[in-house]
Amino acid sequence: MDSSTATLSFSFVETPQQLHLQLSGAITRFTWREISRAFQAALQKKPQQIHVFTADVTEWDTVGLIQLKRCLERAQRKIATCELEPLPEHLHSLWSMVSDPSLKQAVIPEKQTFKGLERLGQVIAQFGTSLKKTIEYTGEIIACFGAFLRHPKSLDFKKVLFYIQDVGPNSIPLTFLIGLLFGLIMAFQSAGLLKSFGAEIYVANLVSVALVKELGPLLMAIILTGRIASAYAAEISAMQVNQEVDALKVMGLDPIPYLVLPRLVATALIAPFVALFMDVFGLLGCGIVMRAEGFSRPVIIEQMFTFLSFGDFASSFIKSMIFGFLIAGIGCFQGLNSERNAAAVGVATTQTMVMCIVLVTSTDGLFTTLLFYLGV
Amino acid sequence: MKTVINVEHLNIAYDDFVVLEDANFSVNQGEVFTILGGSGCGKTTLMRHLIGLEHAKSGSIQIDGIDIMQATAASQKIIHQSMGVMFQSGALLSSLTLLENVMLPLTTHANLPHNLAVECALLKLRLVQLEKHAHFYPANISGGMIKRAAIARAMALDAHIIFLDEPSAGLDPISHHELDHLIADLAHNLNISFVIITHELATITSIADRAIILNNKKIAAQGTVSHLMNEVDDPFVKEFFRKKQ
Repeated sequence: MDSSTATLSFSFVETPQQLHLQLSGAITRFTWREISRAFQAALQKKPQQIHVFTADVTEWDTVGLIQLKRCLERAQRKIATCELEPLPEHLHSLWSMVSDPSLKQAVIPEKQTFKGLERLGQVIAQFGTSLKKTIEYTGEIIACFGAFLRHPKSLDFKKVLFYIQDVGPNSIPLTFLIGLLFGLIMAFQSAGLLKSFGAEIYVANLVSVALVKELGPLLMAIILTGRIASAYAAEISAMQVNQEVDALKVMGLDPIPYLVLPRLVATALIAPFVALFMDVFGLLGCGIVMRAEGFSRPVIIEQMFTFLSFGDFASSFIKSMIFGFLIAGIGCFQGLNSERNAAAVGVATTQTMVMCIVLVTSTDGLFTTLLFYLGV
Repeated sequence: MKTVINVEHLNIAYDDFVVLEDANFSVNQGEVFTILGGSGCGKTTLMRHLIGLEHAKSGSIQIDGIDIMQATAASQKIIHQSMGVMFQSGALLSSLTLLENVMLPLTTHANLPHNLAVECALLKLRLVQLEKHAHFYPANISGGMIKRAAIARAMALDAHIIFLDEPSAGLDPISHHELDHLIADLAHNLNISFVIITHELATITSIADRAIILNNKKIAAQGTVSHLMNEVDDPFVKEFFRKKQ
């Protein structure tokens, strides 16, 4: 049906007591405004009764019928009587459905509103549920690791290799870009400041310590959060939506060892190496700036490693491994606990990003404080 | 009787893989037209071409006289507003309730005020006996209910051509019968043309006016259902109806 051809016209025949409203043309979704106008015009004449005739109506649809019924009801509220002459026979069943008052009452649920203490209670209850789920999940992972250590062959190493490829080598281009630029930026910024003290030689020391001890693992964690954790969450959440996780369960396959463990092991194993690459690329960026400042290659390399010890590399390695473990764990957790609709995939991904950033940063803070007091 | 869909010399192929060759058929206004055939014979692919989601290798598909394969994006949009489609899986938007799913085409294309759109969507849901589930999300209802809600959405704009891909698969016998009854009513009373992909013999015999049967990359037979069942000599067609009985 073309909207341009659908029109509705109306005319009146007035008697002392009655007004005959004659509709002709289309009573469809294209003419719902005209239906309203016809009734408004009729009501302006302030009749005692309106009789509506539709014998000349050639096109009908459900929107038109509903609008006609609404206008009749409105007119009936304003004047004593408003009657519709019988509609064509083929519309009788549809009209009886349209005019059924129970249609309007069909289920508009009251929105639950929580205020004050109720809201606080709801938040605490939600926190409790989510804490319970986290503890359960952590327990399942520990049990799963225990089983893996007892029976190493139970882990699908092909899958682990697949995820190692995804997390490691496929992250290198992004790691190169971010590492190199970060090294360059840090070196430039600190060189400007240290130059005024004649201490620009220490730029290499500053950048290398910052990168190896803190920024390498942290930047690696941010890259893996964006690339890996969100992908794990979306992938497993989509599986949840498609009932694939349920299918695994009824086939007797526990989702934790099947879906979570390979991702967890792969990410925890490869994350320290991604962090190491981040350090190397960052130091390369720093080296480029130092060379531009006129320092020789041996001097730069010597300065870079003056304040770094084996312990710094070891702590960075362990920290990165923990970050990798957290990132994969959170991604899988959000995926497994997502709801079963398309929106849930987005929610799981967003929550994963937020949780990863919060937990990684908090863990980093804890780690740094601990190492400070341990004197490492 | 006005022809709403006219297909001429349609060839569907993906690279060298031929799906359908030289298909010719037409669908009239107010007619219930069924597409039959074995699994994997290209029924859904044919429907996807008819609704303009995919482009055929050659031939023409005219909807209301406009060749959908040559139509501009703007013309295609107008054609799409004149048709309703129910996909095999329902394809409801899972982030919206059933009511919101049915209201979506009404508020987008018909520019109706909210109350009118709600009432209209509720009517469509009542037609498929789902008005009490209007505020449920697709994730919270059964597969059969999803299909019925998808039919309600396909009918939202009172399109004069409605495509249904296996509408009764997964429905209980009562809902199936009621759905057939509803389709026949709408076709007769509102002059809506239905193109239905189905395997249900009850639907074919009770409401279909005409049908085509696809087999071996061709239309094996076409015509009225009684013609197909009683007068066609093609062995596949005979076997198809014999097995269904």
